[in-house]
Amino acid sequence: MTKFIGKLLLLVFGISIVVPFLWVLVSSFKTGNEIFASPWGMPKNPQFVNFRHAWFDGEIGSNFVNSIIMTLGTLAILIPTGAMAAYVLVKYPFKGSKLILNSFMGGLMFPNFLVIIPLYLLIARLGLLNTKIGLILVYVAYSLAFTVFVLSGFFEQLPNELIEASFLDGCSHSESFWKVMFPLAKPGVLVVAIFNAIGLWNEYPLALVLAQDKSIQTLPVGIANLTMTQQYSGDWGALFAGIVIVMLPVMIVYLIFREQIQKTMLAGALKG
Amino acid sequence: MNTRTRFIIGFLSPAVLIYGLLVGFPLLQSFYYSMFRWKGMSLNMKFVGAKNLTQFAQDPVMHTAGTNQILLLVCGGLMIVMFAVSLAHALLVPSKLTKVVQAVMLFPQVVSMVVVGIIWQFLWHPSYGLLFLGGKAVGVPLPKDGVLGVEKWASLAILLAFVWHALGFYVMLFGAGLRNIDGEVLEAAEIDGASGWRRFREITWPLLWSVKRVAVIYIVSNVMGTFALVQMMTKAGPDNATQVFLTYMYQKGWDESQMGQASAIAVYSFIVAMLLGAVVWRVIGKNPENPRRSAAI
Repeated sequence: MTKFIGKLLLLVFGISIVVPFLWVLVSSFKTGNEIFASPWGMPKNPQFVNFRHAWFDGEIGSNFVNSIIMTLGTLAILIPTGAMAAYVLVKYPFKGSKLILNSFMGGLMFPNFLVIIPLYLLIARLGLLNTKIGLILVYVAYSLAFTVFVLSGFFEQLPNELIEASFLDGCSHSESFWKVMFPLAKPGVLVVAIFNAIGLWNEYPLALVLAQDKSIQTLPVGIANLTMTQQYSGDWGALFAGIVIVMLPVMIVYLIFREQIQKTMLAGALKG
Repeated sequence: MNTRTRFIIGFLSPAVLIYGLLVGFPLLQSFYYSMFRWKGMSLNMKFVGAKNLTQFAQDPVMHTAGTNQILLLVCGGLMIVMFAVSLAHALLVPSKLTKVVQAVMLFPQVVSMVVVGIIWQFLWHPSYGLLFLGGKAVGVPLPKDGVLGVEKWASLAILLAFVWHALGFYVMLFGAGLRNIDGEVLEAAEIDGASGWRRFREITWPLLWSVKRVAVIYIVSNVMGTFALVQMMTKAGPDNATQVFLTYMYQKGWDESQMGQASAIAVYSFIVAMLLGAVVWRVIGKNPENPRRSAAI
């Protein structure tokens, strides 16, 4: 009996997740009329043109490029900075290193949008409002907590003997990091990078405030604007196509790296 | 300065500088700014002390936001924990279905909150929304102009969307917690005649204490961080009925240019988040003194 209820529960849970996504996907191939006339039905002729409209007319295309630049740009600064800090904090303990590690952790829990007003003014005064580098720096700052937290766990597991051995081979401190330790932590670094990439790709509130300019808007901001304007212009097919363009990349990345991502999420949660 | 010290400083300073400048500094500034009245970007700030904070005591919108926040925390939290624990149990039995569910259950978590909000707005659309039409078909008395424009229904819709978005993560969390429980303890309980609901209540549930504590902290943080979902689904309407702290802060700061008041909302919700976290941590996150002994009862 309990087994049956369990199965039923799982079935309902699974359906509640899959159906809305499938519905969006199917709707993205329909004409606007079909979406209204037969919300449950399949499209008669798949409207690939929806995607072209979304990409070119709705500016989703340029949003997409911006999102890629912001995501990769952030990772390019975040990963070395975070890895270096995490490494020093666990392998070169000094007076105050615990405190620094803890203040990184502290940033893990509070919603970053809370500080948006001083952050907005600060970025504006630095002349970085509506610039790519401005948003990238903010993204780096707000991704550091998680990155340092997870990577410090990875570096902790690597034996100290490796560092000592590299010194005997004539490595300096930084050489032993870049040539020996960092390469060994690569699996961890990869997961952290993927995990961050998903979060950055999806980020909305900070981008909404710090990158309002049309030319540098990211995908979540773009699709949010499209939703508000499309409801008046009425190209529903293109709107659904736009949503698919935003969500499909992360879903694919997630499915490829599912196990590592889940492990990282749990490591972050269960160690805390 | 020796080479070791120089190395430490060199490696640490980029991260510490970026973090300190863009995370630590603004956090402290929030408290400072909340004591001024000033508009927009102008630097013409007038010191008003705690007035920004105290005036919210009379602000009905702030009350609504607070109520909604508590509603999300209590109802949403209870729903999430209840469903997550049941689903995590059901997932322990391997089958094709569990495989599929495990593959898709984090989908709502990995797509952007904006997408979640848009999907749920569409699901309730009065002329093509799947949920709206489905609900009508089975006889749920839904308001005919759509759900999101009617106060009580809109809050309910946001609650549902919130739970839908968050649930998968907690299923995974409690699943890990269940797998960590020593099988022998459960077997011993079985032999002593404690099975089913009783075994769950007296053994499994107390042993999940560390996972529960983490779950609660995450739920508080999720709830306090709610912004995009409300913004996309209802724009905090109708008539401020679905307002939460962050949407209200955004509205004050960017629609009304009241940066001082907006900072005060931020400070207020920061304090509330800390208090809630501390209280719930104390109440729920108790380590049963000796799990072994309770297992032997």
